[in-house]
Amino acid sequence: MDEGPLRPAGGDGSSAPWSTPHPAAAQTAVTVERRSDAVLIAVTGEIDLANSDIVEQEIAEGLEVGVGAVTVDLTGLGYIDSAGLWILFRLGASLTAAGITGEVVVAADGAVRRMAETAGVSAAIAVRTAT
Amino acid sequence: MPLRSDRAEYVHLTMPANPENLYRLRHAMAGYLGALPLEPDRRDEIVLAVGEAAANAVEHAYTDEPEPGPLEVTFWTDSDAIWVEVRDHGRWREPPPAPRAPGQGLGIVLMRRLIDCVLIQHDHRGTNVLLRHPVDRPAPDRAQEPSAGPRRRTAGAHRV
Repeated sequence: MDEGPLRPAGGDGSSAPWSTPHPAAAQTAVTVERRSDAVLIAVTGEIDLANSDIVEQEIAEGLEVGVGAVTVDLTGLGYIDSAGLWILFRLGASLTAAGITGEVVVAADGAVRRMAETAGVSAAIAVRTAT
Repeated sequence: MPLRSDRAEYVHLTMPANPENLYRLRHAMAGYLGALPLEPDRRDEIVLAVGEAAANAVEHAYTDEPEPGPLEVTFWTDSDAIWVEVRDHGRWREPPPAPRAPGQGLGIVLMRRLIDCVLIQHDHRGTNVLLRHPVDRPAPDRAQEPSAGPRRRTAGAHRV
């Protein structure tokens, strides 16, 4: 969430952050890569309440019957909120139920690792910090 | 790391409580916080907690109404803490009896782990979440080192 153009408002809050050229809402890109019996799903951008349903749907579409292992690469994700964390909890539960090995990879710095640790995502799916 | 008392900040934002505005809200918050002498982790914690408070309002405050009502966020600093108030004017309804639907409640748990003081008030005027984050102290879930013993507080001074 490094910020470039936004500057702090003065005492009157007049800097009008709404006028800065940001996207209108959280955006993500979900890419799916298949390697023999494993699937690598990379999610970049930001996940929040506004787009968590579509992200979960896109991840689900990347899963295939018969796959042996699923890695969700979140190292390019800049933000995740509780709606996004629930995707990981549900994914972990469904992979475990299907006997599929699952893993989430997070960047060492930033909000995503912080949230995954704070919420205890590793109870549902293994969480690895990228080196 | 005291904040410079001669550079107190005060920002008040009002926006419709719709999901799309969560993105702009947290980027605005990150921008304001980026100007303060805060470590990146502290800044992230505040942005994340404000995001959860706002998402709660977006999800629950105006579900009975055809259009989302206002979400108000006020951010200010004093000499050693950052304060954020997230307010909606929706009707508070008690959460349904257990078992809760998946996804409910995690946001509030996260807020309390990320932020030293979280006060949630609700009445006929809506719901008000007040966050106070001392800048010189780790987040609650990072403050309990086994060797550190109980956290010392001046009675009442850090609870709002």
